Amino acid sequence: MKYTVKHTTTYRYSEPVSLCQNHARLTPIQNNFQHCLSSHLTASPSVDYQESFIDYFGNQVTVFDIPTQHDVLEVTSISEVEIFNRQQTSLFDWQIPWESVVNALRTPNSLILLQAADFSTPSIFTPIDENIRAYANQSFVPGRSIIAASEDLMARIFNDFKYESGFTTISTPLSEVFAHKKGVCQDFAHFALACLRSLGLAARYVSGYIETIPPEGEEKLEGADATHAWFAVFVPDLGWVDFDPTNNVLPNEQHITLAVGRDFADVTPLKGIVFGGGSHQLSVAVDMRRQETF
Amino acid sequence: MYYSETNNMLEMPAWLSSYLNGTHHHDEVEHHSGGDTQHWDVLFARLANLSDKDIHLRSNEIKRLLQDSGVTFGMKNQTSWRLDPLPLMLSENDWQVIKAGVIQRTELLNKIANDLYGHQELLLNGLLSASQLKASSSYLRECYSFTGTEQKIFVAAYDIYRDKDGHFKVLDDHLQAPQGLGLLLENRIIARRVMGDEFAECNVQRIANFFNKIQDSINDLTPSLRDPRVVILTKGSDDPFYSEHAFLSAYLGSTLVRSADLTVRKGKVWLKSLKGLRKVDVIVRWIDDSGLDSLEQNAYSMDGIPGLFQAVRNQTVKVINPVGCGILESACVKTNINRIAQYFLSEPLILTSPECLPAHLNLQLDTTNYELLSYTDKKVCLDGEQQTVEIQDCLQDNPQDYYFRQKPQLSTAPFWDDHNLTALPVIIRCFALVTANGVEVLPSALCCFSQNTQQRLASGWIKDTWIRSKKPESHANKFPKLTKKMSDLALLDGVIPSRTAENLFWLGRYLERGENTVRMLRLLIDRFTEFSIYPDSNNQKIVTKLVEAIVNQSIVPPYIHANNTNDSQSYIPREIAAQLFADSQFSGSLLCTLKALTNSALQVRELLSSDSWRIIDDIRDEFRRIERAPASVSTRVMQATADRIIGYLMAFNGSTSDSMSNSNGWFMLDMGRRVERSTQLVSIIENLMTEQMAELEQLSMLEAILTSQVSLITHKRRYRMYQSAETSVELLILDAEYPRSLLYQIEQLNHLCKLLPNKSTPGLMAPHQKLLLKMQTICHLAERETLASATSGKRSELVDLMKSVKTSLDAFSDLLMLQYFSHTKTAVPLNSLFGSIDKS
Repeated sequence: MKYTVKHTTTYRYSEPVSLCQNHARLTPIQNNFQHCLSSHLTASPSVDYQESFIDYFGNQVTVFDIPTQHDVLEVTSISEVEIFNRQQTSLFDWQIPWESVVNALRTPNSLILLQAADFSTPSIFTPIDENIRAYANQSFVPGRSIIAASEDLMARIFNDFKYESGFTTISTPLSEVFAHKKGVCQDFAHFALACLRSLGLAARYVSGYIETIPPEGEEKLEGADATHAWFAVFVPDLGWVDFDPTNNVLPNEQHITLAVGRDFADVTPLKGIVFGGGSHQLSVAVDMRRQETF
Repeated sequence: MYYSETNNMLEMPAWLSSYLNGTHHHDEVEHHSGGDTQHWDVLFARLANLSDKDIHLRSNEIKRLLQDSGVTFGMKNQTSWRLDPLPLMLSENDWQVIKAGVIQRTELLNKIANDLYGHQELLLNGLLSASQLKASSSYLRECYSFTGTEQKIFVAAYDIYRDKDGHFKVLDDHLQAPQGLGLLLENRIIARRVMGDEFAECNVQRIANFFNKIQDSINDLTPSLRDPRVVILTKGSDDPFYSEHAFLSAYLGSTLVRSADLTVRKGKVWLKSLKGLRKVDVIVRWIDDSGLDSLEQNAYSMDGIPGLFQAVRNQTVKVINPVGCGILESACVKTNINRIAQYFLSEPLILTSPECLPAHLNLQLDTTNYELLSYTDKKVCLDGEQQTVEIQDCLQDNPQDYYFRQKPQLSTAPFWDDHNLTALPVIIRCFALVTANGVEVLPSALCCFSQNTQQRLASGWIKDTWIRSKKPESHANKFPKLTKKMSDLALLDGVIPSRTAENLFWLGRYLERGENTVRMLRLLIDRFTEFSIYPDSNNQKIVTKLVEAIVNQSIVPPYIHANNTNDSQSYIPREIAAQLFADSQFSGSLLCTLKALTNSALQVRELLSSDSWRIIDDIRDEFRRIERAPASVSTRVMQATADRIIGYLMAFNGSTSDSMSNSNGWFMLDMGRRVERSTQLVSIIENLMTEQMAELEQLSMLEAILTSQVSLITHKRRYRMYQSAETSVELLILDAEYPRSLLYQIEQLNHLCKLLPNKSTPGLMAPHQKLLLKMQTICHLAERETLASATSGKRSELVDLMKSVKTSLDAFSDLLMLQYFSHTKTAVPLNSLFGSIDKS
């Protein structure tokens, strides 16, 4: 499946900005299930410097400066992505007890395990505590396969938590999300990560997009899609397996991965430093369309 | 008991022999001379001629010198460094061990850094715990995207102590921004001055060469550049080591900068200078890893330079010590270093670290000889003997976060505590430099009294460390190589950070402000004292007018324009004088101005000569005395203080005008001074001279004004019996040749502006120059008769002229700010982390 994604971020400032320096993680990552065919980033006012590098987690970071005085900044990223179908059913043949993964991560003896170990300790947005561990243990009963247990955790989050936009912000502590069992995709992903890491498993945050299908007979609205987030679990010899607790599905051809990291802080789509600016308002519009297949 | 081979103890003076006869358990003098007491003998033989009074005098002399040097200046807490008159002596044998150990450890740490940010053998082979390392905040994942060179460490420092068994051990490694180098250098300069004879006698190894090598090594980092621009990055005057950074910058001849002086544009680092952006090639940073790049690093830091890492990645700038070295200071590396040495070097460490045991594996340990530390929180240090309850609390929850460390048993050394020598536990901080030809070790150390093992050097009691060389020191290689140097200096001289320029400008203003405030204070005291002797109505009017103008701050800073609201309140002149003298709530007071003055001097510390600095230090002492002055302070005290301060201000002006170079931005100081003096003059004339008065009263007022402008004698001589408002106007405003006149200040400003980098199109006049021309012209065109003539009691021409000049002066200051100092806007993070984000 091929998609064209247009991601527009707009900042409106109360006072003029004289210089703005940015890091964007808006280029979809390359992996076995996803090829990024092209990706362009443009800004208004235009940039005078643009370069990119690959960060520690393998994400492409676009570095750019805007030296022109402005009140509104608009950054648009347009990418073409091809997604390949993943054979999800065969995943469940993979009968590895989760405890053995924990053991392998404890004494990593290969570079792959060492890299995975980065995702097995708590991070800023995923602090762990006894309650979280207790919640996780209900899915991760002794001897259970890591895939089955993770799927169960995903399903429980989907059922126990209520999707409610506006209840949380990025600064809402995880404990509050857990206490009220309310939040959005980002909170669910962070909560799942905390659960998995409380057991010593490696789990990472995935930022990306999900295709929305308009109700039958209605035209799809431009910009109606949104950024999305889910989590992935590390399984030795298999790699990273994605789970979407917001929709209770294993991401497949309708999920596009932008970037991966320990939590949201590692994958912030657009971050920057401005000189001046006063207060600002942020708006994001995402449009994700299937390309016609011939 | 100290046994000497050469000296008979009976010859020792009491202050020395009582220490040597004392019972110490683990003392540098008594127990650790390694069978060779010669190095102490030589020193004591010299000191034997000194009485306790002599030592006391030396100790005081050192105190004074140390204070003058400014190391102790600007410390937030009042505790500061205290340099002991007795150095710590180390034998050549001991030194050889330390030196070899420091070299070995530096090489090892370099290997560790390369491995941790490279092949990760240590993690894969289980020498370090991956989860512990990766949980450490000083493990910088950003470093993976840098394709760096093999050399990670540039300068390293180690805190070394002598254990009970006589072996030297390392307590801490400092590899990000090793503090203390400047302090050590300053101490050596002072110690050599006070103990010159002893120094020569003892054949002490010299340290200047080490500093020359630092400079050479910095130049070697940029082999392709003819003129690398090197800056020293400091957090600023809030950093307890700021004075040291200023000192090092002056010693090494590099520009001292704050983060806000630097900006990253197009992947390169630039210095915001008076002449615009100038590329920076090397940053010697005294800021830790965690706050270097506020854009790329997750934790936002005010001290960061947004985009710095991109410049490092592009290899357009060298940062030393390189980014990422902080991990080498982490407990994770420290507690395993003995094992890592075996792995990498296949040999034991010469300088080991005290034994460390992971707490969760040693829960039943007898902790008497241990202390508990945390892998993650540097502040935790619990004594295994006295804090067992706290230790149990810590171990209850997360024992894997803690480790036990064998308590270091520090040796003691003699310190002079005003009456006699006391034995205090010490550590020594040794410095190493990694050069192209291997590791160089500084042949001295900063010896400091260490009460708790966590907080060292931030303040406290320190000693110079003397290492005796058996051969007399050769003087070869004493002078720095003059390869790139000549051109460097020329170049460097011309680059003035905008912030420095701004601070110089304000220093100039505050100097002038201080002078004016003192003169006003004197004038007020003088007039009301006279009034109390001759209580005539004339005197009374003058005093009332002065008091009013001081209270509404129209003739003292900030020179507010007074609306003629005839305020009926009656003031007691003496109270107003006290307020002008010492009221911290009154922004025009001498106290406030002196405070601002010393602060702005501190900001340009690196540009001040030690003589100029000593004067600033004296002013600060006066400031402290004024601060403590009671509300009922006598006029005598105020006058005496005023006299001293005028003396200091004059001395400072003299010392700077002698040694300042305009290419260093010193003309900014003069500009500040001229702007301030013009503002003062205009305000005084506007407020005290525009009103026509009865003849006698007018003359008294003119006399007061002329006195405050140090122009009374000139005026008398020049105009003799014809003194009038007209002549005063002529002298104070119109005479372009008279150094105290307004026109003179404006012409000087015009002259000084030519030194500013020109930003306008050739052939066109810059806006600030237009303003000066305007002021100059209206003053030149004015006539003294018209200015002095009054209609219905008001000299309206004079009022208009002063208004016009004042408007132009303010506009001129604003333009300077905007055009030359305005890079000082602060950075704000723009991050969806701080705003809201659409989430599905």
